[in-house]
Amino acid sequence: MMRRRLALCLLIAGAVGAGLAARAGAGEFSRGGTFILPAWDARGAALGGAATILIRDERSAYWNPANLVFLTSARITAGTMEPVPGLNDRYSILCAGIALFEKRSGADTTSAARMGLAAPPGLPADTTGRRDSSLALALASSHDTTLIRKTWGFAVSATHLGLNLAQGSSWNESTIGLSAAFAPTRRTALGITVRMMKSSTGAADADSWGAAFDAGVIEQVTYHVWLAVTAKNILSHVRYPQRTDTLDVSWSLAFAYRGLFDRVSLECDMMLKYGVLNRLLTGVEIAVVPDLVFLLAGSDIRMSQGPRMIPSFGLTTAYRFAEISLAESFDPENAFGRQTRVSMSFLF
Amino acid sequence: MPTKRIVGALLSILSLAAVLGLAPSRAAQPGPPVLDEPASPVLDPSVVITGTVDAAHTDSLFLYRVSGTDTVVYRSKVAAAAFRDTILLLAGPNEIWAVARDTSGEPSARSNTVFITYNKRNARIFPEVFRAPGSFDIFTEQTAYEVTVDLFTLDGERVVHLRQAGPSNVFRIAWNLKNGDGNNVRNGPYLAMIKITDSRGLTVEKHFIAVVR
Repeated sequence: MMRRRLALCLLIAGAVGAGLAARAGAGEFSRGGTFILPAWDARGAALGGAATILIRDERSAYWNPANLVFLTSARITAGTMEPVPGLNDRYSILCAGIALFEKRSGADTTSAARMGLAAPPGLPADTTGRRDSSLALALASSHDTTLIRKTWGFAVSATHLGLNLAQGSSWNESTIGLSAAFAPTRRTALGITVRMMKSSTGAADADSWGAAFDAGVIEQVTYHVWLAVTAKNILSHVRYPQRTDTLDVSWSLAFAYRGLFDRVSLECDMMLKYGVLNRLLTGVEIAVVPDLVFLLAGSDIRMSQGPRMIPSFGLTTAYRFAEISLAESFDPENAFGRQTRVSMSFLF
Repeated sequence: MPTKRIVGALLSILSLAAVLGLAPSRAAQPGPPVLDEPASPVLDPSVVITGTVDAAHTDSLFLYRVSGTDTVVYRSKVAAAAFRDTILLLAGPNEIWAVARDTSGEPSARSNTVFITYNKRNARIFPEVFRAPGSFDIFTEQTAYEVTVDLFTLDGERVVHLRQAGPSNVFRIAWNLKNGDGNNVRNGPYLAMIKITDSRGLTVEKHFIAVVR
């Protein structure tokens, strides 16, 4: 257990250090670029973007590909939004995922006991006499994502952004992503997403194409506490007719507490960019009716470029094989104002 | 036979008169007009063109206004050396030049060419694709105290804040394609948010632009 925790601390320290060293002499203003995704699904947006741990399905292809191993069934999600309300623009996503190869329970019973995972009071002991809450509770529910059930997770995702420039020329950006995740244990998973990108525009010599890689890790520290680290655009290459370029790398360090009062989950993400703390994301999910109705709220605090806080709220309803999410974000900048996102998911 | 002799005599007399310079003489070509340099750009389509003509030999003045493929000719009688005519411009650049004519219609050489750009009130002139450093030209109907241009990425991150103070009706806000830290921005789409502050309050406009280099 000590070796695992030491490894975890080293992982976190390495991530933070890499993030801080990402750009020497970094500043506070963005350099912009093509293929900057304005959003993903409504549920993650309602959490203020603090979805590195709390989103545990095919939508993790964007938030944290390591979480694909939590999928309990094949799922597909489609969503849409207007990045800038009032202008002629639209952004849409489509993603599908599946997890394979059920993990065997025997070995993990012993490992869970060795970890000394604290069991909530009142739980019955298992057949070995130990209070292994993680298995006892998680395996009891076939849809519970407390523990990692599968060894491999895969997802395919696609996005499309369309807008018109000031004088009417079109600008379109499309991406296709392939994601894979591997869980060596029930408490640790790693994932990677490869995105192929293509833009087509009405302007001369403006089309481009490229690729980018995202990576993620998730680790269960205790029954309720999870840690995760993700890196977006850790490798990227974009080619234009006259030049080549890369995309900005961003690192996220996430902490989540799941199952407060058995209904509330909280997450806090620190996003590092240009070598400084760029955003502080917080999200809370409340199961109003367990597995049926969820209220979500979050905030995206932009630490640089004139600090501002973007609150968001949302609602998710799930029934049998369908889930609908609605999110509203309120950006104090007049440029973006109120953004509405809708997404629908289907289970197979 | 006496008739033939009379006609012949008359022709001879006329020929002699022409040789001696007694026949009516041909008028001299009028001198070219000279147009005064007007102010540009302007916010009204109606503009007064002033200048001078060769009053001694000029009967009428023809003013030509060319904008793109559109050409309009304004004709006026000339009574003095200085003239003053009102013409209508089209939005954008306009070329104006003139030709004087005498009583017999003999044209002068072409005058100098003057250029006037007419920008409609509340015009916003900037490229939708910036391929090199350029500017946001903002024309306001009301006198504005300040105009700012903020550029954002599509995920809401600020790229640069540009500002020009008034009071004025014409603002030219330059952008050197660098962000607020002085680094070159990348190719891609950006949201330009233009804020105009005048006596009526704050007006916010949003446009998508792109940088392509």
